[in-house]
Amino acid sequence: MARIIVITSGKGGVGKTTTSASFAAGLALRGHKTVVIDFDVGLRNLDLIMGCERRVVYDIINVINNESSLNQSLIKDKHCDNLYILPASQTRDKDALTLEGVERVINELAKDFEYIVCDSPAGIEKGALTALYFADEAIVVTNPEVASVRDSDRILGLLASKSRRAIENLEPIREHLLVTRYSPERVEKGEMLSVNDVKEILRIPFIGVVPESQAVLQASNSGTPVIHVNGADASDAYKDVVARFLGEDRPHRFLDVQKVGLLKRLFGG
Amino acid sequence: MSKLRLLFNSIAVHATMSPYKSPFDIKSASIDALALHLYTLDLARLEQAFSVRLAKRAGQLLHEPTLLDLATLEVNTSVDELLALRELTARFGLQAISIRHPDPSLADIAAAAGLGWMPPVIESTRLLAATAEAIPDAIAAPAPEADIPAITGETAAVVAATEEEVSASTEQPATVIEQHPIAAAETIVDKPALPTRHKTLIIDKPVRTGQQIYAKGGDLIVLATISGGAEVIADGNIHIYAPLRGRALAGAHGDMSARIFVHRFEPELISIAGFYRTFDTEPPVSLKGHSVQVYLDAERLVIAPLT
Repeated sequence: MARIIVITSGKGGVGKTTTSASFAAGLALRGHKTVVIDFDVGLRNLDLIMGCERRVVYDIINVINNESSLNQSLIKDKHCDNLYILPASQTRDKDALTLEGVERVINELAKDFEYIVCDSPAGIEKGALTALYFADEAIVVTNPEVASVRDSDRILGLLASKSRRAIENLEPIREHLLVTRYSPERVEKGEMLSVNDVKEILRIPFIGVVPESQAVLQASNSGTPVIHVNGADASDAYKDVVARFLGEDRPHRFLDVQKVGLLKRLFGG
Repeated sequence: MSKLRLLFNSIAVHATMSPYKSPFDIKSASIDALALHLYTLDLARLEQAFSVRLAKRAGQLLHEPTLLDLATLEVNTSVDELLALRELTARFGLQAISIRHPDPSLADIAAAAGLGWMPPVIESTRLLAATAEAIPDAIAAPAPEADIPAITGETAAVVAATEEEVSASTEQPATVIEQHPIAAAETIVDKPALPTRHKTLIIDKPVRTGQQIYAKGGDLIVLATISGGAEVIADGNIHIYAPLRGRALAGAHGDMSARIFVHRFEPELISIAGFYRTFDTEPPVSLKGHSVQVYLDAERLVIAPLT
């Protein structure tokens, strides 16, 4: 039975799509057949981040409206096997996204895939609620700043009340806190909330931290999920997150200010 | 069967009779009576059941005035049936005085059988007893107990601040989202008008920003964090065994004796019976982040530490 994971946050621009792309790719790299779905109808970004924007023929709305089959609409990722993308529509309305339609799509995907990653749009309206509705697990992406923390808190309330598991009184969604765009230097200076501050307010299991990284912007511009940029700190961070999600015990990195060695300071790094 | 308090007209007869004085007076009397709840009018079955359960108590039940509660039955009865019922219950020491049933047309039949009639009161006697005990608490202004520390310098500052800021708005919860099932309302038909009481509502999951919990007619206990931007409201007291970072409003329908107890006090707003205070200026160091209780002292919000 496929595991459905929603990547959500409430707040916009915190790293949901970046995370969806790298997290899904990370699962695929570990040998699990994974599909990642873009739920942001009208403002789709996942296809850009994955580098498949020129291969989009059909999208999830086409599938819901029976204008195309799932097989015709799924795009095979060029960076790794086991990974498929179901893009959102760019031209259609959000209203075309119905719960019944999404349920059909997910049920069909569940036959072939081990993991279904749902990239949620920002906000708490229909798109976000549809993305979280069928979730078994949720990765709540949060930036270490007050507005993002509050919006994440809001989305946690919705996960606990507006999801199918909540409404049907099933076992609740497993929530994971992912802190992104973290800068230990700024935390030390008191400019940024620390991971402990965020954990204290949200009080859900902590799956990891992704440091603020130049590599993320470069990767998205080149249509490659940052996890594929070997050696980049963000790549290592996402690999850790995937490992922890799959049950491995990885010590948390990227929490402390990196002491720059003399050689590195002399010759840059 | 259950005990009930009945308001009853009785006739008082005066001992000394003067020619000008009325030979009788009618005054109200309150008596203790039993209510025999009958779930069938099959007299044979009832007799069998009585002989099993009531025969043992025959010595104790000395013709106690008994209300025959037929409220759960569709009663299509006759005078003879009621007479037979009266006789049956009398044999087991229960003196039937009246029947209780929603249909007023039964009154005549009952009267012909020598019984009164009364409509059902939709209440549970436990509720009645509970509210009867609760009323003295509500009326008596709760004096702060002796072991609560006297208002020190710092808390005095808080009290002084509240004197300026206090607003006597009657705060009604705006949009109320009842997220947990609450016991059905039970109203009391007769006077005196006793307030309906509900079970304490217990919340053991975090109250997230944007969520609102309303404990109608009773107390609220919260065992997990209340986030900033979240709201907990109760008609009674609120006990929070976790950080309060949002808003807590007790005594929402005007109960000025309501209190708020908080394990970790970091609120945005607190209110009792509409007297509220926001925390734009931080509470004093001795209170912030500590265990406190909040109560009204003559329309002034007092925040006192809980040791």
